[in-house]
Amino acid sequence: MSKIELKNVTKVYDKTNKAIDDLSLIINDGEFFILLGPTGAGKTTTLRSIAGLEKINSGKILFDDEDYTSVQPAFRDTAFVFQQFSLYPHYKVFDNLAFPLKSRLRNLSKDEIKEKVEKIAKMLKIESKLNNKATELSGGEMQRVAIGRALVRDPNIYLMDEPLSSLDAKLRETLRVELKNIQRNLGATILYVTHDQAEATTMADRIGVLEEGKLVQVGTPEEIYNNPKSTYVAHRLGSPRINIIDEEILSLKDKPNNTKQLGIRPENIKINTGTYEGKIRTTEALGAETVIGIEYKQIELLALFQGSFKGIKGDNIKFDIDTKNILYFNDRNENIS
Amino acid sequence: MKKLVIKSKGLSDKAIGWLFIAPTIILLLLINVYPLIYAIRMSFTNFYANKLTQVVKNVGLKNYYKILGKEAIWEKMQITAHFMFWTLSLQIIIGLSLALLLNKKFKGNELLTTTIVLPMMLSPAVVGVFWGYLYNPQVGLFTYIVNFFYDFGSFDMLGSGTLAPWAIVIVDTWMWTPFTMLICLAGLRSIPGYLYEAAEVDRASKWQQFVYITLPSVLPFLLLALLFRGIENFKMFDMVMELTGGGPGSMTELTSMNLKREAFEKWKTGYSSAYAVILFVTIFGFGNVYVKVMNKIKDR
Repeated sequence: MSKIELKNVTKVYDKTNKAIDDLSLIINDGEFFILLGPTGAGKTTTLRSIAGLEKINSGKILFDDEDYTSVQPAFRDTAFVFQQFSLYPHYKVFDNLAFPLKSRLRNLSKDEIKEKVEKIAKMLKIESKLNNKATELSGGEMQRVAIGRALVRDPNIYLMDEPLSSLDAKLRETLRVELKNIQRNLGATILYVTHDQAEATTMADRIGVLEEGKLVQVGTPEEIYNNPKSTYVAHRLGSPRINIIDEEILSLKDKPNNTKQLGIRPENIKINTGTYEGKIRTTEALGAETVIGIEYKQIELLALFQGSFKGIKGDNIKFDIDTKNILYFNDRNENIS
Repeated sequence: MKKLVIKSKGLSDKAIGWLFIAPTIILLLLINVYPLIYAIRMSFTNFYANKLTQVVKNVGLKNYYKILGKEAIWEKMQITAHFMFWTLSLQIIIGLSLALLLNKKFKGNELLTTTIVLPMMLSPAVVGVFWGYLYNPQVGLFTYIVNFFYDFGSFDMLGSGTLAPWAIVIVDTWMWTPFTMLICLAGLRSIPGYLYEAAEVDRASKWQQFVYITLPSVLPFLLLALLFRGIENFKMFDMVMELTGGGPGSMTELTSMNLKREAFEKWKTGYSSAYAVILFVTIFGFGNVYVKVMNKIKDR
């Protein structure tokens, strides 16, 4: 495993759009790093650039402080899990898993290959499927094999491009936990790309938030949740989403100068107490919690209520805002709290 | 309780379906199946189409014994086999190579594809006639080009017994390689690009990528091209007829040409019906076995 460093990397597909714009980033050895961002933010391009599948226009890519910027993909020794299950359709699961080990650059004996494949298959609980054809598997099994094909190797870094996005919710949760455990046990360096904030917060050691090819903020999930640099980052983490409102609506007394907007997490709005009064617009029961949409001065505030909630649409409701945890943003959407 | 299901009046869906396909089926029965059965019936007789007054006698399997015991017919079979083996091999190898080349992205790719495909669109008889000129020992372009690189002196592709079988192989390969190329190209285009990217990251060499990804993906397409070309070349007639007329002697007389001579020059109708049935059974049997094998490979 290696430390991966990107230095001022820029990738341009056509003249008007920069897929990645002056991106600098260090992924430490043994770290689970997640790049978070919506479609088109440049996540996949970043991964592909590290793997060598894309040529970058400027900047440097270092593996353990060695310059790998123009090295061929095969010699970078990265493992890539693609978003589509990119299994070799004509081969059995065993052969798919063994494929990366058969490379002439490796020169492994048949017994070594067999041993490694079986170990990984056991880890991913697909050992009973080793003799099945790749096309006879379910979606979850296919993606396990695809992940397994990366894990049989001992590469510089594992690159994963939304590997769980095409699976159903339940399977996604299971694999999420498994993947994190495997990473811990192997001490693997993983760069993982997703737009799913739940994946980011549950698995990542550190998260990097991408916005239109620029890295906006890097930090632990807690740091990014509690202290987002901008309204953009604040929106990326947290479900239900954060309330971003004009500061005039609450007209607070102690606020930093040039405050333009306020950010209030739904869990910081308390229901049935306090001085504010609004109307219930929506309620959404999530089981243990209820998300309540409150109409207040023509805007909607989302509040998170613990327990089952008895109000109905149109009812008047009292609420209180925990002012200690309010985030303040200036007119350039930057956090100034 | 009110009846919810009202029985529809008129024809059932199935009956309507049959009505729709009935014209086609009747036409097929009339122009395909009836002549076939008629030919099989005739193959057991001594019927001559130019001697209509003669009494037609049932001769049983005599025609078949005669054909299968005749050495000249096995010679034609051998000529056909030689023609098929070399045309199919060359067309598969060159077609696949060209397809691999054209599958790469480069400038002028589409124009080149169109140009390569042109020979396929010509009429086989026309191809036969103008290759006759190209092979001309005095003024032929083919002879000139070959002599340009190595001076063989004057040689006659169509006049020499050893060269003529190769002359027809060259023309058929020139004409039909584009066809196998197109089918291979379709196969290559169906391979998703991320498989190659995955293989590249997995440190597979270009050769490994070809053997593990390209070849297995394109194999079903190759086999299909082989089937089409095989059936076509087994009944090859027009191009070779125009080019050599079966000559010199009968060095390039394929079975289908031989059959035509027996049927419409010697008018041995009963005998040549048996001949045709034998050829039909051969290609039908081969075709069926082949399709079964092909499906197995596809399911693999």
